[in-house]
Amino acid sequence: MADAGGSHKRKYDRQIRIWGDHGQARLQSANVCMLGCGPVGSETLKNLVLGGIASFTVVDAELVTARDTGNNFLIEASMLGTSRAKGVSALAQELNESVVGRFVEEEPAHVVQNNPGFFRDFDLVIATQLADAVAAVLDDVCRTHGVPLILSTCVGFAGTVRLSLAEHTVLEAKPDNSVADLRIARPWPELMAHAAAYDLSAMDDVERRHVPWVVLLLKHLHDWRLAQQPPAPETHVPTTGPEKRAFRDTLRAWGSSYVEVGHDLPDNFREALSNAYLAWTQPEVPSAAANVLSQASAVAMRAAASPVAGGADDLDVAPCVGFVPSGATTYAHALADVATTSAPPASAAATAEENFWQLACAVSRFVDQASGGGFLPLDGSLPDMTATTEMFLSLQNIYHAKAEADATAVASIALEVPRPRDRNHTAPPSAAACRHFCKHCRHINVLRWCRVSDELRNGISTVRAALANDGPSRDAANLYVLLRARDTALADTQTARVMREGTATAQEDELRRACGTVLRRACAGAHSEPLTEELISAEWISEIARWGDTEPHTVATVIGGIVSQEAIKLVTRQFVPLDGVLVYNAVRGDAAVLDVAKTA
Amino acid sequence: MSSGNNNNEVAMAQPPSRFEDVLHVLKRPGALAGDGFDADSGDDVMEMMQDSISLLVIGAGGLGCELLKDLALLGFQNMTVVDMDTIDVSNLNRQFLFRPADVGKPKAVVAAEKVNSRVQGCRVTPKHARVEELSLDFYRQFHVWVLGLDSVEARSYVNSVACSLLEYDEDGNVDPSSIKPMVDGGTEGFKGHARVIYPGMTPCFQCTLWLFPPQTKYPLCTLAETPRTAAHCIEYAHLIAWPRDRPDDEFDADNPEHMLWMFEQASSRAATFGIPGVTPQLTSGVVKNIIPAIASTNAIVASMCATEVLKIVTMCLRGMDNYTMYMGGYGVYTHVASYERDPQCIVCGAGIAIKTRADSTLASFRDALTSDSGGDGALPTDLRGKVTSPSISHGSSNLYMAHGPLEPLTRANLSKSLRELLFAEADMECERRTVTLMLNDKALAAPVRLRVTVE
Ligand SMILES: [Zn+2]
Repeated sequence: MADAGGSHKRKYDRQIRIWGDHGQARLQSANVCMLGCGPVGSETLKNLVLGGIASFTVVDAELVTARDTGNNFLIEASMLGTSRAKGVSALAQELNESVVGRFVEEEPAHVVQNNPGFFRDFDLVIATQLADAVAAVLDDVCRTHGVPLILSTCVGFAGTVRLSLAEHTVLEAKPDNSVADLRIARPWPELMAHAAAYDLSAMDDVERRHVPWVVLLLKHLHDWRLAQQPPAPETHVPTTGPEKRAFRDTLRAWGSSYVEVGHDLPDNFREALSNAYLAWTQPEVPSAAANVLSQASAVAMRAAASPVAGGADDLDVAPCVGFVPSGATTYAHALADVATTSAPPASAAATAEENFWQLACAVSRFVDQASGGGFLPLDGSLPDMTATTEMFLSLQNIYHAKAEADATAVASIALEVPRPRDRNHTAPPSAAACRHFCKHCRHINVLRWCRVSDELRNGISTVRAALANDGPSRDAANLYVLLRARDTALADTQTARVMREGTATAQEDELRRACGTVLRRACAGAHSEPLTEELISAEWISEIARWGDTEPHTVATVIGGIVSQEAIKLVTRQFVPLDGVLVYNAVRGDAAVLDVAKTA
Repeated sequence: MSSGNNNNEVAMAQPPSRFEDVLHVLKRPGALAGDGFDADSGDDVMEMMQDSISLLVIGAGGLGCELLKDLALLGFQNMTVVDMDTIDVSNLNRQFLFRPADVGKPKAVVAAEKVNSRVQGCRVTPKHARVEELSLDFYRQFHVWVLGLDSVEARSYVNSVACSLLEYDEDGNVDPSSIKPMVDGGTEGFKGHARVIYPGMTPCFQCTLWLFPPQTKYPLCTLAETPRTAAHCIEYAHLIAWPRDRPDDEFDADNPEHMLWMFEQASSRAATFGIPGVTPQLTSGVVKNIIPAIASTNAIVASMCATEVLKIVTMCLRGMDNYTMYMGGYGVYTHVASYERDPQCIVCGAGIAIKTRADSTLASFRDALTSDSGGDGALPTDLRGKVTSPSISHGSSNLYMAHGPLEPLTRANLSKSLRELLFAEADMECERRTVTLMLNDKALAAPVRLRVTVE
């Protein structure tokens, strides 16, 4: 394959399997700004360049020292004394010829303070080792331009990572342990009828051993309802312990009745037994999705009402009138045509994401209306199970048909949702986009981060509980306070001198004093009990003092790796980004996320 | 370097070293340092890292490339990297030591070359070989083994090698000098793990084999009679159609013609049954059992591992105890678990204690084991009478190999005495001695350790 598309597909094959062609396309159009190219910046850059971003721009004013040749793989000995930004850019660029590399030989803090417009055209800004005060200014700049920001620090054997942007919506969250939405407790009529059509007593043994467990559970639940005194309604499920036990026992007895005494249960009955809990698992809306749906209407309305930023006011008329009936039939037609493969056309995924709030609003209305009956649109997936080909495919068709019907219903509701003012001249979300949205809507999510300046004001009082409790986040809370304290001590010339040149004892004393300062500042004006440096562990004070300004390569690499994972999540709009401040503790070898960066 | 007054010394007073970031920490005492850490010998420790410590890196793939870079930039200079693979285009999204021009070359060779040329003074020796091809003496020369492997089989093999080096005394206490610490990493997508293993002291792979999920395997009758998914159709083409239709061709997943054939077979079977979803991408994924992989996760896991190597060698900080799971897909979640050894583990356990006389022959020792009494009750009841034709080895020397080309070469040992076979002249004086022998037999899932006390 000589064409760039084909060779790209092969080169990026192992990651396209994770985020798909549409995720890869997003990555390949991302322009990333990297502030600082010490080991954290260089390692982040390495990972993102390998992944195939469009371009990077390194901002760094340092000259290469001996230390750089010992902790940074994008530096080589021949670069001693030359521009670090230039050296790192050259070796980063060399990792992937498809990526464009640029560099600016200037102090990052200087650019932040003097040239805020510089950041406007990036898709993502990543800052490494920035002082807190500069980070707060950069955050304001990035928010003004609507550019997502990732902040990171590495101090010895610890470090932090934090994202900052006003809002990030996630459609393809791709959770690890998603249980299929099979609606066994609340089947729709076609599914009930499908199960009812199976007559096990009329089957031969081979056929009977292939009846899908979903059908077995549906039939058994139906029989269980009829056997109640008086017979229970169609929404009733076993709820008490004895009821559930009895349900399982009678299910096992049913299966045993088809085998000789002493023989094992057939595979399909065993599968039914291990999935029996689904008979009383109600199809709930997960809390993250419920959170999105609860605000979807308000957000969609606000977007529809807000003035447009580009002077497209003349396109103000909603073009939906007259479109609804013909649109609805078109959808039904289109939905039937498209093969049911898992990968959506890239444009459908993009359209679904662009219209996130409008489609979330439509889904929210769908759930409330008779068509949804309180449930989310079905995603239509059916896990593999013991069955004949015909039995499995016909059951799969029932699920697909319901998913298509739900997506069609959502699509027609979506036409009634007011469109954002800046997009109402474009076509409404396509059928494929609605289907894509419905397929993923059980795990939609919205994240919002508070401003860095707010975190600097309130973060420490937020971690006070973690500081006092003997829990896994106690170390993280200690490190969080200490890194803030260290930043405060380094911001002052006098104390910075002690921190860098004093004796070990003097350094520890200075650090402890700085902890007291930031803790007292955190409770100024608060009515709660004051926090003092006594709360901070002497062990951690001694280690932070010991580590000084070091950035051991392997700790920097963990931080850089986490930053690049988060960058990929932001850029591909897949998976769920980090919503707090991550504190990495290389002593224990773990990381904890402190809840100090969300908006109230 | 003066000693005893670190607290009063001025930090970073010496001319800056390349590895200042590590050296700085090595030269200063810390509240969270490991047992036996001595800040006063920080310079010596760094010198030792550079000159006398030698590390074995197993795997030069996604993790291996990162590990070599990480260890070199911590200051380690003697490393050997083992990998049997050659470079493929699909490696380039994460195996950052390789370029398009390197495709087809051995990974170990290119990786070693790149690290040696980028990090001055670093001496990585490549070994383009399978882990099974290397001798015990090869493995024995390294101080710490670092594993960047992608299969359970290879891990289990290396684990069994490390455990076979363990020496236990008569009471079942492990000899610390026989322990080769291992650090292991693994990744899949946004997830990964890093763990530290001191064989004989902390859980080995076999002790915690349940940590690895079982591989998906489809029953042949599903593939042949009731295919339901695209993967079933692909496995049908792979496991049934290929040997049936092309019995003379050895299937090669890297041969484009073979993969195209596989895809077409799978597609036509899927069409027959009306099953959607067979694509070239899925076909190669199923046939090659591809694990999705990205650069950032490899970077995270490898550097967690390399940090632990630094701690093992220098004790500059407490070690991770003993397994960290990293999950980066939904926010970031990590968990450190302190797993425990399986006291019954057949791989790392102290094994079976047996007493025998120094003048008994290997043949009579072996006959006792195969008798119904299982060496006078030494073997556990479930093995008595089951072990029928065992091979016996001592360290890297095969005392008797019951099968294969080594049988005639080792047959003469059967008539020799244990004293003659196991003890050097100098040891003859000792009244009692305990040696570790490995017993293997078709009846055994893995070789069994025998702690033989000879009187
Ligand atoms: Zn074990």
